Amino acid sequence: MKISHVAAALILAVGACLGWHDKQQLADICQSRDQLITEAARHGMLPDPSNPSAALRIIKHEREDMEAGAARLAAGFIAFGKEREAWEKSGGGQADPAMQKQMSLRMMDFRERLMAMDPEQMKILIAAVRASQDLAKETRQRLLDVSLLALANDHPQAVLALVTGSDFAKDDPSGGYVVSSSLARWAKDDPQAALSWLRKNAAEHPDVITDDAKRGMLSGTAIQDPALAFRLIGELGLKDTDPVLSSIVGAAHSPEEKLSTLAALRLHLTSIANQADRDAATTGALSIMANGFVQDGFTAAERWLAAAQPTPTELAGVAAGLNFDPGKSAETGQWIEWFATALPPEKYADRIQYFVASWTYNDSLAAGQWLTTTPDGPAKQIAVRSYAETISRFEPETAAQWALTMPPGSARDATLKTIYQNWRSPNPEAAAAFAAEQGIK
Amino acid sequence: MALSRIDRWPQRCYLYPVNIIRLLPPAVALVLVGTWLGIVHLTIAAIDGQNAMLRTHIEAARLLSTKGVGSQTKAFDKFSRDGTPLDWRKLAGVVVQMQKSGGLGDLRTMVHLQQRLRSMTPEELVSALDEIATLELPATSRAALEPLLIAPLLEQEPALVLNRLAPRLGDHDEAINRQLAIALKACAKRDAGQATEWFDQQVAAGNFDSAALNGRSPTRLQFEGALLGALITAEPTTAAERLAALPDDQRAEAIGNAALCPCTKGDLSNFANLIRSQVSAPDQAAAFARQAGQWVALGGYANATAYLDAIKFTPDERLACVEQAVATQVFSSNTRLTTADLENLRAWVSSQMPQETASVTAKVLCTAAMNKRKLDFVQAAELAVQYSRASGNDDVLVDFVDNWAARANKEEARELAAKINDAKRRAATLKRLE
Repeated sequence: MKISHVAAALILAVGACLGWHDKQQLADICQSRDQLITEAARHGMLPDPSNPSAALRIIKHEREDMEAGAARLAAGFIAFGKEREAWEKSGGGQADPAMQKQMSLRMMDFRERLMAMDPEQMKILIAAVRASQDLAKETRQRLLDVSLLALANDHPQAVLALVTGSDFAKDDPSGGYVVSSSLARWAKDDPQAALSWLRKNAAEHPDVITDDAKRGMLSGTAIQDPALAFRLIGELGLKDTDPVLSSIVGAAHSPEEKLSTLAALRLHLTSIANQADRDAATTGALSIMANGFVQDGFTAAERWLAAAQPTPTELAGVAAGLNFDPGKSAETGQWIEWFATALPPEKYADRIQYFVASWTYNDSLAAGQWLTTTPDGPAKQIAVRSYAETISRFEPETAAQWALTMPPGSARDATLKTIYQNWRSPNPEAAAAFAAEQGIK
Repeated sequence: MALSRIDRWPQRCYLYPVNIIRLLPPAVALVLVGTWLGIVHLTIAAIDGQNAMLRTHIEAARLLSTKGVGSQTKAFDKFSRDGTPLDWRKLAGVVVQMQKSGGLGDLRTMVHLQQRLRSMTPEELVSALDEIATLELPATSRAALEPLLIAPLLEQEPALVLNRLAPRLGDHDEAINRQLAIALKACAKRDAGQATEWFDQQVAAGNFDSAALNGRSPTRLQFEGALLGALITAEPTTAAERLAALPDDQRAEAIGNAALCPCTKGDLSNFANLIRSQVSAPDQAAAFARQAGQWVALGGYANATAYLDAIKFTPDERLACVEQAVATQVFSSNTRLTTADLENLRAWVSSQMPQETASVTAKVLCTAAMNKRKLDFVQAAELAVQYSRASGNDDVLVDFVDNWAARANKEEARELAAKINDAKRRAATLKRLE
C-alpha cells in the first residue's frame, strides 16, 4: 500500500475518533436542549419553529401568567415598601438591628427578581408603584428608582423608551440619574447605538436628555473607548468643563486605564485651538485623574507619573487634584518635596501652603519635625510661613520662633503680623510685647 | 560533471505532478475530516448558545413566578450559591466602579456578592477580611471593599468587629471608624457596662489620642456619641456624667453625634435635657443641629420634621436645625442638584420656617455652586433669578448675591446684582459689594 493511502487512512481514523467524541457531545447538548424546551414550555415559552434561534415565543395564556406574576411581584414590592417605611419611621436599624438583616436580604431578593423582568413586565410593575398613592412620596420614588435601575442593568434602552414614552420624565424620581445611568450602561456596551438613540431623541425630549444624561453617555463610552468619548464632547453640544471631563476621566480607575485615558486626552487637547482653554482642560482633567493618589500612596503615584511622563501643565493639574489625607500623614513630607521639584514656584506655593497647614493642624509635631530636617530654600520658606501661621492660634510663642527663622522681607513681616493678630485675643499683653519687640504697628 | 541549475529545471518540473498526485489522498481526507468536524463544532456552539438563552429565560420566569415575595430566592449563578472562592481583586474593581461611576457597575454581581456575604459565618467573614489585607490592594479599592464585609459581621457579632478592628483606630479611615462606632453602640445596647469598659480601655491605651492642634479627636467624639446614644435610654445619669467629663468645647459635638432612636420619645427628652444642662449656651444650637442632620439622613425630611416637633427650640436653634437638615439631605450624595431636590427642600423649609425659605435656598445654591460641586455658577444664578421672580420679590437673588460675594467671587456677584428688580434693593446690594 502506498504511503499516501496509509496517511489518508490515518487522517480518516483520527477524524472518526474526534467526530465520535463530538457526536457524543452534540447528543448530550441536544438532550439538554430538549429538557430545557420542555421546562420552557412549562413556563409558557415556545421556540419559534420557523426560526428556532430567535427569541422565545411566549404563548398567550402563559404570557398572561407572566403578566400576573409581574402584578404579584408589584404588589409584594409595594407591600415591602410600606413595611420598610413603617420600620424606618420606628427607628429602623437602630430600633431593631435584627430586622436590618431581614430588610437588606429582602431588598436584595427584590432587586434580583426585578432584574429578571422583561420591559413589558416592568411596565406593569411601574404602573402599579406609581398608582400606589398610600405610599409616602419618598418611598414611592425609592421603589421606582430601584425598579428602573434594575431594568437598566440588562435593558437600558427599554428604560430610556419608558421615560421618553410618556409623561414619566415630569416626575422622574431620580432627577435624571436613571436616564444618565441607563445611557451610561448602554454606551458601555454599544456606544454607537446609544449615540444614535440620543441623536434621534435629543430635540424631542430636552427634559430627559439633559447635560447630565449626555455626561452619562460619555462616561459609558469612556469605559471602552475614551478617545471616542472625548470626540463626542463637541458633537453632543457640551464643552470641556470640569463636570464633562470628570465623566470621562472618572471612568478610569486602574493605573493602566488612567494611562490610556491620558493618551486619549492628549489627542483631544490638540483639537482645542485656544491655549488658555487647552490649559484649563488639561489641569481640570489631570486634577480629576489625581483623585485618590494620596490615599493610594506616594510610591504608587510616583510609579504612575513615571509611566505617564506628564507635561508641566499636566503636572500642575495633578498637583491641583491632590488633597491632604490624615491617614497618610507620614507621606505628607514626600508630597511637599515633590511639589517643590515638579512644579515652578508660582505653581507650588499654594499647594505647599495648603498641605503644610493641614498637616500642622492635624499633627503639628510631625510637621515641625519634618521642617527641622528639610534643607533651606524657597519651598521651605513657604512651608515655615504656613506652619507658623497655622500654629499661631494655639502656640504663638512657637510660631514666633519659627517666623524669625525666615529671611527678612515682606513674607516674614506678614507672618509676624498674622501671629500678632492671632495672639491678641487670648493674651493681649504678650501680643503687645511681641508687637513692640518686632516693630509691628 | 554536475548538471547546471538550468539543465535540471525541466526534470524538476516533470516531477511535481507526480508528487501532487501522491499527496491527493491525504489532502482529500484532511478536507473531509476538517469540514465534518467544523460543521459539528458550529452546530454544538449554536445549540449551546440557544441553551444558554433558554436557561436565562427559564430562570427569569422562575424568579417572577415565585409566589411568596418575601422568600429568599437563591441567585441563579454559581457565584452566590456555592463556596467558590471569591476573586477579591476583581470584585474590588466591580465595587469601585459601582460606587464611583454613576450607575456603570454591574448591579447583578453586586447583588450576588451581597447575598454571598450575608450567607457567610462570622469566621468566614473574618477570614475574608484577612485575605483582603494580604492582597496589597490600592487603599481606595480596599476602602471600597472592606465595609461590605464588615456590615454583615456587624449584624452578627458587633463585639467581634470591635475587637477585630480596634487596631485600625489610628488609620483615619472614616468608613471603618463609622462601623466601629455602630458596633460600639450595638454592644452598649446589649451590655452598657462592658461596652463602656472596652471604650475606656481604648482611650486609656491612647488609641484615641489626638495630635491635632485643638486637641480634639473627631473619632473619639464619634464613639462618645455612639455610647451616649445607648446610655441616654439605659442609664441617663451615667450619660450625663460621661458628657460632663469631656472638655466644655467638645460636649456639643459628642452629644450631637449621639445616635438616637426615633422610636423612643423619651430619648429626645433626655437628649434635650442633657444639652441644656451640660453644653454651654452658645454651643447648644450646634449640638441640636448636628442631631437634626442625623435624623434627616435616617429618613428624609419626614424624620427631620418629627425631630423638630419633639423638642422646644429657640428660633436660632430651629434655624440651625433646618439648615443642617437641608445641608445633609442635599450634600451627602454625589449626584448633581436637581430642580426636584430644590423643590422638595423649599417645600419642607416653608413648612418649618416659611420666613427662612429664601435665605436657605440662597445658601444651598451658593454652596452647591462652590467649586462647581453640584451646580455651575450660571445654573445656580439662573435658579436664584427664577425663584426670585416666582416669589414676586428679590429675596433669593439678594441673598444669593451676598453669599456668593462673601464666599466665592465678588465680581460675578456684582454682575448678577444687576438682575435685582427692586431698584432700591439693587442699589443697596451693589453698595455693599463696593
